[in-house]
Amino acid sequence: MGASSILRAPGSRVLLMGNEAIARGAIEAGVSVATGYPGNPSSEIIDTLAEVADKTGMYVEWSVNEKVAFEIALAAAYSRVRAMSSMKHVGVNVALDTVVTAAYMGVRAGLVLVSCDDPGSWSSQNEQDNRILGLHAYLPVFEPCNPQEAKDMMVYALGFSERMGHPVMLRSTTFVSHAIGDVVLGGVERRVNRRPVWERDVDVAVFDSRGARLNRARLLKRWEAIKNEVEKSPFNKSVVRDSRFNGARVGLIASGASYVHLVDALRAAGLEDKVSVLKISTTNPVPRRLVLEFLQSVDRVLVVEELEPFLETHIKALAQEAGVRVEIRGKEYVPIQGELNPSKVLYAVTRFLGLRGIGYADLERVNAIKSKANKILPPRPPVLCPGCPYRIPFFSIRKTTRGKNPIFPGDIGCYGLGYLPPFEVIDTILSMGAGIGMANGFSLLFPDRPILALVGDSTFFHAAMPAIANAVHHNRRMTIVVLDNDVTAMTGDQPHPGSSRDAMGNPSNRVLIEEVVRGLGVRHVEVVDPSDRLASERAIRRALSADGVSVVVFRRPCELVRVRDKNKSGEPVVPYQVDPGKCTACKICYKLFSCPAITKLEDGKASIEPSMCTGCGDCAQVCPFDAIHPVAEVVGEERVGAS
Amino acid sequence: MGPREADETLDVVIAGVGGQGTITAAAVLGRAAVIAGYRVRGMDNRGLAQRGGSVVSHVRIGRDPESPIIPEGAADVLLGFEPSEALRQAHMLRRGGLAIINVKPVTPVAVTIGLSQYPSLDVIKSIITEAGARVLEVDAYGLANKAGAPISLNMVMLGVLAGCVNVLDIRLEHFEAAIRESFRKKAQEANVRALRLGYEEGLRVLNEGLGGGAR
Repeated sequence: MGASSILRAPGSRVLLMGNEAIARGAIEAGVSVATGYPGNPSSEIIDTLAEVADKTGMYVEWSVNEKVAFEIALAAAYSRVRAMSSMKHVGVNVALDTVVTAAYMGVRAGLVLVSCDDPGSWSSQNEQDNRILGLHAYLPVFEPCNPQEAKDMMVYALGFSERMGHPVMLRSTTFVSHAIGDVVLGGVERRVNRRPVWERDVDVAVFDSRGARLNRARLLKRWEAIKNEVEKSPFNKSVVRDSRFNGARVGLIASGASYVHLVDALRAAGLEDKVSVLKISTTNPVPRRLVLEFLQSVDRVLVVEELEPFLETHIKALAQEAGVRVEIRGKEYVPIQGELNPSKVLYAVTRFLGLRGIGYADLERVNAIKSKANKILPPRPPVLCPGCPYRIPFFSIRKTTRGKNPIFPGDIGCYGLGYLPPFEVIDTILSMGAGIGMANGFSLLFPDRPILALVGDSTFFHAAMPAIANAVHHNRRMTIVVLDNDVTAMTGDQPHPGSSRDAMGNPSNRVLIEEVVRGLGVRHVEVVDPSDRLASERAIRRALSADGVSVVVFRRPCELVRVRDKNKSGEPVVPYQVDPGKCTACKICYKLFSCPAITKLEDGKASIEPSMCTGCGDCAQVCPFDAIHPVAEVVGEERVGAS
Repeated sequence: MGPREADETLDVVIAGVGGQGTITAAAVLGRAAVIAGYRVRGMDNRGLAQRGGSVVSHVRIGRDPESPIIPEGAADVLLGFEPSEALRQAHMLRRGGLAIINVKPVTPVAVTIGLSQYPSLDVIKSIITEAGARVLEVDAYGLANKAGAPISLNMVMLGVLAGCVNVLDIRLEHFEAAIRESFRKKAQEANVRALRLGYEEGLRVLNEGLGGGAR
C-alpha cells in the first residue's frame, strides 16, 4: 500500500491497513529489533518495517522460522532493548516452547509478540484461537478492533510490557490486520535504542528444575500485578443503558473485531440505546472488576466472540465465584466456526433477544442471488503463476510416477497448489515440515511404494532439516524434491537463508540446500534447472531408482521476481505464441501442463494470452509438435498461418 | 482535526482476479476519501491474491460504519473487474445498487482444463438485473490501452465510478491526489490518464441516464 504513509508527521490522518498501523505503533514506541516469519495475515508488518528501516534505524529481520524470530526478540528484551516478533497464529505454535519460558523469565524492556490469527482459515491449516495460547503461556492478550486501535494498542502493549517486566501478546485477526481505515498518527515517543546491556543472571535465565520453580513463583506474583493493571486499560469500555427487553436488562460483551461488527449491527437494528455493551480489549487476564460491575447492571448477557468461547467460559466462572445471578450465553447463538461479520452478529443478537424480522437486508433475496450464481460459477482457486518454475517439476513427477502407486507427502508454500488437478502431486499438507516427517512414516509402512515428498526452499530451512536427518539415520527410502525459487514466494517474496539479500536489502550469505543435505548424509543429490524439461524428467527417474534418501533440487527464481527484475532493467519480456498450423489440439499444454496464460480456442487448439505470458518457454518444451515459439521468431520467419 | 461530517455512507465492493489491481483500487479510493476529509473503513481479502484467485475488497466511506465488512445485500456499488467475479459478489448489491462490470473475462484454469464452463455475460447481467440492481458495462482494457497502460484497468474502473456515481463530495482532484500518493513518479501520469478516461466514460453514461447516485 505504501510504506511511506507510516512515516508521515504526528497528527496526520492517513489511510492504513491494520498491519501498517501495527508497524507504525512499533516505530512510535521505539521498537529497536523486529523479527518474524512470513505468514498470512501477518506478513505486511515486517515487510513494512523492513522497507522503512533505513529511515527509522530499527533492525528488521525475516528469520528462518518463528521460534528463532521470537528468540532474537527475547534476547533483545533481556538486554534492555525494546523488541517485537510477528507471526501468524500457527507460527506461535512453532515459537511456543520458548514463549512459555519467556513468560517465566520476564523481560527487561518491552517485548510484544504479535499473533495474527486467521478465523475462517483463508490461508491456513486451521483456525486456532490464540487467546487460548496466551492463557496457556501466561501472556496478557490485547485485542485491537480496527487499524487505529492496532497502532495505539501496540504502543500501549510495549509500555505495559516494560512496566510489568513481562512479555505481552497483541492479538489481531484478518479483519483487523487487513482492514483499512483512516488512522491519526501519534508522536514517536521513544527513539531506537542502540545500547544493549548484558547482565548474567542465572536465577532468571537458566531453566533447570530450580530455575523453573523459582521463576514460576515470580511469574505468579507478576501476574497478580498484571491483573490489577489491565483494569486501568483505556481500551476497555463499558456503556450501561437502563432499558429492558421483556423485563430483563440486556448486556452484550465483545472483544477485538467482533466489537465493531456488533456496533454496526446494533445501529442497523435500532438497538443502540436499548442494550448495555462491554468492550473488552485486554482479553487475558479478563478484567474481573470491570466485568463484575457490568454483570451487576444486567440480567441477561450475550458474549459475542469469534471462534472459541474464551470470554464466555471465563465470565461464567467469574459470575459463579462472585455469586452473581446473571444468564450468560455465547456459543449457543454465536458461531464457533468461521469469521464473524455484522450480518452474523445481528442474527445472533436478534435470536438472543427473541426479535423477528430485523436484518440488514432481505435474506431470501440475498440467498436467491447466491444460489443462482453458484449454479453457474466456475471455481477460481489460486493457481501457479504463468512462468512458475514448479510447473515443469510437477509435470515431470506426474509423468515419471504414473502407474507406480506413489505416495506424495507435501508441505506448505506455492507448490502446495500441486494437490489440485491436473497435477495432483501432493497428497497431504499438514503443517510446516510435516511432509518429510510424514514421509519418514509412510516409507516405513509402505516400503514397496515410491514415496516422493515435495518441499519448498523456505520450508526446507524452516522445518524440514531434522526430518531429513531422521530419514538418513534410519535408512528410509524416499525421494525429496526441493523446489527452490530463491524466496518465500506465497507470502510475498520474502527472503530466507538461501537468499542473497536480507529483509532490509543488505547482501547476505546464501546457505546452499544441496550442501546442507550432503552434510546430513544424503548420497544422491542433484541440482537441476527446470528450464530443461528432459533433464528434469531424467533427474527424477534417477532419484526414484536410488536407494535410501535421494534429493533433487529444482532451482530457478520465482517468475514474479524475474519479471519484476526484467521490468526494472528494461529487458523486454518476449511472450510465446502457438503456431496454429502446427498445433494438433492434443490439449497437453492447457489440460496437463495447465499454464493460466494458455487458453483453448473453439477448435480445441491452444492459444497464448500475450499479456499473461512471461516468456519462460516451458510450454514450448512440453509441446510434442514443436508448435510453440517466442513471438519474435514466429513473426520473423513469417510462417504460414501465424496469427 | 476530526473527520468530515457525512449524512450518508457509500459502500463499494471491488471484485476481480488476483493481479488485476483491486487492492490498489481500494487503496486509491480510500485515500481519495481521506484526502477529502472523510472517515473510511474497509477490508482487502488478500491472502492468496498473487496466485490468480478470486479477490474482493470492501470500501466504506462516510458516516456510520465501524465494521470493515459491508453486510450482504447492502452495497451501493459493485466494481467488477471481471465478469464472473462480479457475479460471485452480486449478492452484495442492494436493490437499486449499481454493478460496473469490465466485460473481458479472465478464463479460470478450471474452465481451460474442461472441469467447468464460463457463464455468458448476458446470463451474468440478467441475474444481477433480476435482483433489482443496474448493470453498466465497461471496456476497461480498451480504455486502459488508450491511456497507454494496459495494467491501469483498475484506475479506469475507479474513474468510471467517480464519473457516474455521487461519491459523497469526493472529486476527481481527490482521486488524482490519491494516485500521486499511491504510485511511484514514473507510473503516476499513465494512471491519472486512465482515471480520466474512465471518468469521461462515467460522465457520458450518467448523462445518458444509466448511472446513479449513492442512495
